Amino acid sequence: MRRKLILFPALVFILFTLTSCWNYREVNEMAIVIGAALDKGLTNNYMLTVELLDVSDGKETQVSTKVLSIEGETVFDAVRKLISIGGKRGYWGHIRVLVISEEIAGENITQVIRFFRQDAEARSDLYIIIAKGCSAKEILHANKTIGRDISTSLAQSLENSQFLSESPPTTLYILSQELKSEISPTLPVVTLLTSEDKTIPIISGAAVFQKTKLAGYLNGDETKAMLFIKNEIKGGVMVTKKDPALISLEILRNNTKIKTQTDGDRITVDITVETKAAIDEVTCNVEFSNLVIFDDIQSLSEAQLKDKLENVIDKARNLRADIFGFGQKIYENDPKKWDEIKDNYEEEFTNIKVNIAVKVEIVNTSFIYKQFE
Amino acid sequence: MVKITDKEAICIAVLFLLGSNIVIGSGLDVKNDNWIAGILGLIYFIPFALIYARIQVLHEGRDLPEIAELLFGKVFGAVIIAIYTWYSLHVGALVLRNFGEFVKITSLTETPLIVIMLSFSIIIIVAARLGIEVIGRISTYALPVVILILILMEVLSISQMNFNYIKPYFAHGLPKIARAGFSAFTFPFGESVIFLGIFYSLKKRGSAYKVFLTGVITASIVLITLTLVNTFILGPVKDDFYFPSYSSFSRIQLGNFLQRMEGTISVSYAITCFIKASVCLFVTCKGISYIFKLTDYRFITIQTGLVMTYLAFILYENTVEMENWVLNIYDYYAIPFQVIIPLFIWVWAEIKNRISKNPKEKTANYQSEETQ
Amino acid sequence: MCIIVILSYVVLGIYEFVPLYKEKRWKEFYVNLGLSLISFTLAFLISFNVKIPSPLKPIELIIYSLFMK
Repeated sequence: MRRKLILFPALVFILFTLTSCWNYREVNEMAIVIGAALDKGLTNNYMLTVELLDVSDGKETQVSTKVLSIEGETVFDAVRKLISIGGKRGYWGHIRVLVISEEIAGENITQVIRFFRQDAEARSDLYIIIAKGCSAKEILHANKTIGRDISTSLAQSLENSQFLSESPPTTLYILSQELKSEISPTLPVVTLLTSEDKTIPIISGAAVFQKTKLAGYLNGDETKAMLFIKNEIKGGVMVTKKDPALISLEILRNNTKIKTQTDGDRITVDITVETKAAIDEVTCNVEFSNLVIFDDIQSLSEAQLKDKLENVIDKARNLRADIFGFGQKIYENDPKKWDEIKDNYEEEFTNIKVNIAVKVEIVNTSFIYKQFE
Repeated sequence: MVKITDKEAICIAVLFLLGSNIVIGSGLDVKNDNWIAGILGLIYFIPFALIYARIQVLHEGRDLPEIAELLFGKVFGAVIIAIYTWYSLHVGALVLRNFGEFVKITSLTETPLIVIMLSFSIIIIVAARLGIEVIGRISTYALPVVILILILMEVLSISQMNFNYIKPYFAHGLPKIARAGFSAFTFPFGESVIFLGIFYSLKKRGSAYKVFLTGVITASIVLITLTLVNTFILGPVKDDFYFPSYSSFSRIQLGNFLQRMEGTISVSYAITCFIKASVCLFVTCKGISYIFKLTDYRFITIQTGLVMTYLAFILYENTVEMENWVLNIYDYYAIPFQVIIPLFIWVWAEIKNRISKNPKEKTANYQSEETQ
Repeated sequence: MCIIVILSYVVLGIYEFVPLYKEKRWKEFYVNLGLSLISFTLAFLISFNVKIPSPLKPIELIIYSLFMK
């Protein structure tokens, strides 16, 4: 009896306390943030623009997007000040993209990404994009193309960029890993394209950082060459010139190996690129059955790819940004040598001897064996 | 007299050693050389595991308080009992705090810490009250779950790994790595000195060696694998996180459907921390009841458990203090409990054993007759 | 807050101390009483948000003075 007498109040107590609803939030009480943009503020330090999914309940739950801007002293300050215009507290667990303006990136990118790294709600798989030629705010205000909102279509085009390979799909965690190791980070670039009366955001190219500062840009083609060296190519098109024809090769598989050798003061980097590709398009008749021509295409594309790689290395040297991670490789293979040169690495990077060996293997010619006459 | 089988004891040992170490990672960090430090920690620990086991084997069927009193008499024995009671109370509180911080930071951000820890301590108190046999049986069911979850997460995260992050080997120099190995020795391996409070209930005679070695080696394999996985996934940012394995498994992404799986790992965190804290609470209660010569430790589990929870709450003011303690201070703090006093007990026990050799020979003869 | 603390300790007290009292296990009774006094004091102080000094602080100081000058 006594047992029951004690058990009953205990059960009632548990009923009310263990419902785990201490800080519950209903979905219609939160404003789901799916994308954010950061600019320098006019009156305060930062201007935060967010794209919100607004869930309104009614007969049928309706989802609409809204874009709001607010200024704040720090990023988190601005995040919380959003309540004063939006009314609801933002939920940052679903954020997909963060657009950062050139101005902030030119000063120091880490000043704004620290919040997203530290906050427990935001996740580290969000994409960081640099807005080129316009403010970050304008990107989120641009016209939608396909899909419901700008942020998702930006995130999707980065997710699918492995079939295009013209922009590095850098997420927050890759960025923080690169910032912590000896690689200069590269971020995808978004620009605004005005056609007719619409402005459409397009993603192409890469922004090159010198440690934490924006140093310059690579265009789509150069980005592809950079991804070749970083062994991050998963697909994409490689156009080979064979006068007068242009031949499109689809990259099927790629494997790049980087080896470093230190010989006294001299550092050599050997890059071996092995690509398997398929011919998917030729602009005029090419006789595939002629094996000499076929070999010719292979060696031509090898030479042209090698040119592109050398080009992008030169460009990176001009920007003094080791975007390929040669420094990291030297550190991994010879940490003692790295200790010697690391203080002066920017200078050293321009003097590294780079040997490139490219091997393109054309596996097939897709569907067609013989072309039009 | 409750008895646990070898299997149960090994399961307890593995879960105990994993507890809270898989949550917050090992102590002093040497970045990508941490796995070497883990192996070194294991190598340092094996002699001590043998010493702990030897102490237990010399006093078959007795727990640490009884051994201490037998060896050192009433007064000095009571001091040693008090020291170890404090140590297991403290370790239990640390585990509770680690898990509480983990839950608070990752999911229940607005729930007060004390509420999280109180809810967790309810089941710990129940388990300790039910005794070591029950903890042992839970462990046999829980260990496969924990290991399976870990293996599943490790396999799923293979695509996120970059195996180059492990290079360069020995970049931090051998002295620093050896020092970090000592850090791995004190946390978690050395904490198994607390087992002296529970292994009196082993069914078989002389199996303490087997239990200690199997448990420690299994746990170290799991921990070193986890360290390697964390290094492969997180690389240079590994030591930025309070909870590295949670952070690394949050990277799992297979297509668009299998992602954000890090919640699963919390299950194994909860299980291991639960086993570790309840073993600590059990040993604490045993110690207190031995000091005051109580017949049954069960009557004081609830209050001791509550004291442990409050202690966990007042130990640190914030997570930064916790991290500082784990990284910089715990190593030194643990030396007397894990190294000096056990060595002392062992030497004294061997001397006493030599002096009173005759009865020992008798038991040895008895044993050999039994085996024949 | 402190009302909840007092109430739950009363319930706990009935659950724990009455059987001990009935069975006249005085040793257990007093040890348990001492422990509950400690835990009740701690709970009461925590419920009033009193900063209780951490027992780790003196240990920290000793270790710093011994190993790290």
